[in-house]
Amino acid sequence: MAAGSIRPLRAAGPAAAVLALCGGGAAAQMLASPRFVCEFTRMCMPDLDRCAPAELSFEIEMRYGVSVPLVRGPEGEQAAMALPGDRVMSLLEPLPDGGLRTTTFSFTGQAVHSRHRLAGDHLLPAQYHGVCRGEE
Amino acid sequence: MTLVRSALALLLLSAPAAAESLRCGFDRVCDAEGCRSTSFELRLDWEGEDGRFTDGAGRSGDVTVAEMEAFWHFIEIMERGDLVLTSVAEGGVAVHSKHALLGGKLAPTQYHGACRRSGD
Repeated sequence: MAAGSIRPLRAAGPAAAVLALCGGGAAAQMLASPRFVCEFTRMCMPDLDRCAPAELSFEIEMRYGVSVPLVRGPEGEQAAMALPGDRVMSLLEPLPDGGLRTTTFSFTGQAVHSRHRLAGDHLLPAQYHGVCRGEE
Repeated sequence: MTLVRSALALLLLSAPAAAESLRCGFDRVCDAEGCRSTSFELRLDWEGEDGRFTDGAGRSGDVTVAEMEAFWHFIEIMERGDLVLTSVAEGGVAVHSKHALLGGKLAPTQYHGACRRSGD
């Protein structure tokens, strides 16, 4: 399916200003933990047609007071946008190349983390399955 | 949720308000059972940051559109907090990730495919 005419043009927006507007809601109230530790043990890559064991971990510092969670992982620290719902919490992390990482975790701890980013000029999607646990 | 949608929309800066449309086809999918061939179609129509999706199963809904560097992102956010994210990279390669609640549990799914402008 060719799509040579597709060419987004806009630069990445001021994510930090946007993120500051988010973060309230029922999930934020229910998820009182100030910090979550996420561990993912399985990764799937649909473009490579394979799932495999994986080791990916990061911390989420919720920072309810300023409503801008920080995600600290092996690739450094990244501000995120909180999307609290009444059953699960999702986070969106805008990346410098315009890609997005997103993490969703339930109140029982089940978690999924998806990456939509470029490696060179190649789209490299990946999805991780694991858990996020609240810690004091 | 309105606040969340409004905040997402700010990612767009000054979006031109021309109506646009993509037709997407995804031929690979991975989920808890592994990876396999599939045939999943998705149509995306938007103007500025407001969009609609319609999939091959007849499901439809609103998406917030964010255009960032080499990507278009289409984000469907549910009241429960789960979401569906479709990203289309320059050239049309696309990924569609579902972080959907099914029966009270997250049922992660990720599709790989490509999109083209409607009419191409």
